[in-house]
Amino acid sequence: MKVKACKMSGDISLACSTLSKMLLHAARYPQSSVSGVVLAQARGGDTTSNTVVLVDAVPLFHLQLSLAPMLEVALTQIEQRYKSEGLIIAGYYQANEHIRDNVPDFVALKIAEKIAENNNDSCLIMIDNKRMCLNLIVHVEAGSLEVISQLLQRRVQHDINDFDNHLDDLTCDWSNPHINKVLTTLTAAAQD
Amino acid sequence: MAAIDLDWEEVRDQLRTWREDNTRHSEEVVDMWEYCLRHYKHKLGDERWMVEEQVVIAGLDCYRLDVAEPSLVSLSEQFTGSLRVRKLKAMRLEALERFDEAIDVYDSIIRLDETNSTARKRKVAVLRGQGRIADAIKELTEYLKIFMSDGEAWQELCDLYLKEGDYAKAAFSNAVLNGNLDNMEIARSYFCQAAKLNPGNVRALYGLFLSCTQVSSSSKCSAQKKKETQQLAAWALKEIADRYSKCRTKAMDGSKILETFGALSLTDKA
Repeated sequence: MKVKACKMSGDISLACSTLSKMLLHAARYPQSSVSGVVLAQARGGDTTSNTVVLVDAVPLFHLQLSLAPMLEVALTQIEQRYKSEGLIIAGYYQANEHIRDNVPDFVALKIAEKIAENNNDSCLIMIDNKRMCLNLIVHVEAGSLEVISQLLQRRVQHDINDFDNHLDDLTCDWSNPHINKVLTTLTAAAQD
Repeated sequence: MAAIDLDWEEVRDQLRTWREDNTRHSEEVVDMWEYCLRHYKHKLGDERWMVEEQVVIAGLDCYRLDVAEPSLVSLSEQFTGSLRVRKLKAMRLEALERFDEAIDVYDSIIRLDETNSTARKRKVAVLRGQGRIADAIKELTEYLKIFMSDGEAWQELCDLYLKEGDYAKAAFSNAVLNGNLDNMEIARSYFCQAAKLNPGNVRALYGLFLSCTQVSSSSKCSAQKKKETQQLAAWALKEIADRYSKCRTKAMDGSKILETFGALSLTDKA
């Protein structure tokens, strides 16, 4: 797996849960394109730090990525849900359907552009399908790839919910608290 | 995997259910075959061949050629000259990315059996796998000229058009939203219809709400129509809130949804 990020300025850093959810989402639907958004702490007036830390991801769609209405619904809900935690939408991620294709298509560019209108520090992340395997080798954040490899080996990908799942069955929670729980356990075990 | 502890008859029934439902569950099929059913194949009777076919496809899905190939061999020994087995062989070529050879095999199947819809559909899949979307669209439209009643294929065509960003044509097979009022009203009536056909369809309700809000906020909209549309929007929103209140999730509950989207419609009334 490789994450390719394009951004205007500064660095981005991915938290373990962010990367986990993106990759689990892509792994749950290997046959289709998937998309979602990443969240970061709202910075307020503070512009001293140049690094944006993406603390969480919300998986959005796997059925139809290019249609606007449900995207609008999803983004409104996400904004509302995370406002109290001080998190804002800080970027968009997408994994294309075709295994060799990691170029952002017009849909990805358009949505990323929209997000950038609201948040200058936003980013667009493309997942490289070719590099996705049970033993991940690229270095992002210490320990997180080991954790994700374990998640994939345990097939946790079948438990991750995106917004499409939520629309099909409202009890599917796109904030994925159960994945967070597994993550906490695994990270704790890794640190021991 | 826990599959080792499973009773082989249960596993057989599970695989049968998946075959009947037309769902793939490829990872599970491979596991269940490998850890369990493989050792009981002589007990399966004639069903064995259906299972082996399922295993071949599952194995190819997961790129587990070590699982797919033995089953493919036994199938082709059992059914020499079968077109159904020949299709599986072509699917193996696809998995190996030997696309041109796979197309040749599919063509040979179609020559022998013109009504073979699966082979034609596989050809579309091959083109899609090669990233040749425009060619895939061409092939699929040819297919649809012959097999007009294939709903799944129309859905696929819609997908392909959307992939190419050809919204006008995609709208032909499916309703898509566009910015202006006329289209918005058409979309609204489609969403209405969808919500009526399946009251449980939350997508349709959301779509209905959004399109109503858009229509009523348009300056070209008459006062009478504005009122009606707003009522419809309010109704859709209430329905959505109802659905949510029936199943509480942490992400969203019924009261919150009214709050979130209520803001949207309130600003429009001003």
